[in-house]
Amino acid sequence: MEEYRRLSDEELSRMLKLYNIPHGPVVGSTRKLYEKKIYEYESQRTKLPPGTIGSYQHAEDFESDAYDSNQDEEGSLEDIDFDNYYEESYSTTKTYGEFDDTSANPVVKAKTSFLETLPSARRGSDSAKGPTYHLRQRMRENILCPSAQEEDLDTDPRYYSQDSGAYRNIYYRPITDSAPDSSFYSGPVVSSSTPVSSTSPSFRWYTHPSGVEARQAIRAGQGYGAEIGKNGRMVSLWVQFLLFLGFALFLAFFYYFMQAGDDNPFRLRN
Amino acid sequence: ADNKSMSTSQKHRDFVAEPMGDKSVRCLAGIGEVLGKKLEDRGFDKAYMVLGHFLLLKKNERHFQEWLNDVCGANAKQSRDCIGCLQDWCDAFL
Repeated sequence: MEEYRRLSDEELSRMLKLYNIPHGPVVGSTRKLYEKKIYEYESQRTKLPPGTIGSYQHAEDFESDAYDSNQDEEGSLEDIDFDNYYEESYSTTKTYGEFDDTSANPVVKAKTSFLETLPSARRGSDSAKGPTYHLRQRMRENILCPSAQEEDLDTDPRYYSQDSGAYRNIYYRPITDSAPDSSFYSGPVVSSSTPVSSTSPSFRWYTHPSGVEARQAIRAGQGYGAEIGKNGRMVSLWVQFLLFLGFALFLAFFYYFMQAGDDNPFRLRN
Repeated sequence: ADNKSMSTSQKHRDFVAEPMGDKSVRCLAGIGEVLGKKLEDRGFDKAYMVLGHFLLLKKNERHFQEWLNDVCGANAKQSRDCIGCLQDWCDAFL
C-alpha cells in the first residue's frame, strides 16, 4: 500500500478512473482514503476473478451495493469460505493431466473427486456448452441419488459409447431430463474454478455472483444436499411427478379394488 | 414536511432546520461527545469542515463512512446518522 504514496495526485486520480471507482478530487485530506480504495480494489481483484470489474461499473449507489454484496457474499453466504474454495479449485485444476482413471467406477469418482474431475472432463465437445453448464451438470449429478446415477448409467448403454467415463455420461445424461431442471440453466454463469487453458480467458468476464454460484455448485457436489436447500432437489422434478402419479394411481386402484359394494361399513354386522 | 422526520432524532431536526453557520461538529447527528472530541483533535472542529469533506468526496456515502470511521472511529449507525443529517442539510441549503 505504501507504493501508492509515491504516486502523484494525478496518477492516483487516473487509477481511480481506470478502476471506475467513483471519486472526488485527490487532495490532502482525501488522498489516504483513495489510496486505500485502490489498494482494496487491487487486492480484491487478485483474489476474485478479474470479472469483478463488472461490479464496479455503475453509479455510486450501485457501487456501494456491489461492494457490499461482494463482502457479504464472502462472509455470510451459507458460511462457505469462498476464498478457500477458489484457491482450492485453482490449485487442483492445475493438476490437470493427473487424472486419467476413467475405468474406475465413474459414479464413485464423480462423487468423491468433484474438483479434480472438472478439468479432465473438459476435453472434447464440452466446450460447446461452456464450463458452467458442465459444472452445473456436475452439481446436479452429485445431488441426485447415487443409486439413480448408477441405474441410469447401467440402463443407458448408448452413453457409454462415448469415450471416457462418467463425466461424459453425466454430462450428456441431463439432456433427456432437461425440462424440470430449468432452475439450473439461468444465464451464462461461468465457473471460476475451471481455468481451462484454451477457453478460460474468454470466460472470465463474469462478475462475482456468478463465481459464487459456481462455488456453490462445487460445494453442493461435496455436501450432498446438505446445503443445496435452495439450489436443487434431491430428486428431480419429473421423477417426483411420476412418483406422485404412480402413488395416486396406486391409491385409486387400491380403493376401487377394495371397495365392498354399497354396504355401509359402519353398519354393525348382526 | 418530509416523511423521514419520524425516524430522525431531535438533533438531526435541529441541525437541518437552519444554516449550520459556525456550529460545532458535535451538533451533527451521530456525533456525540466522544466522536466530537476525536474529530476536534484531528482538526475538524466545525460542522462545516465535515460538510466540506463530505462534499469533497462528492457525497459518496460509502467513502464518507469509511473516512469517518478512519478519522474518529464512528460505527455504522453513527456514520449513517451523520450522513443523513448532512444529506438533508444539503438538500435544504446547498
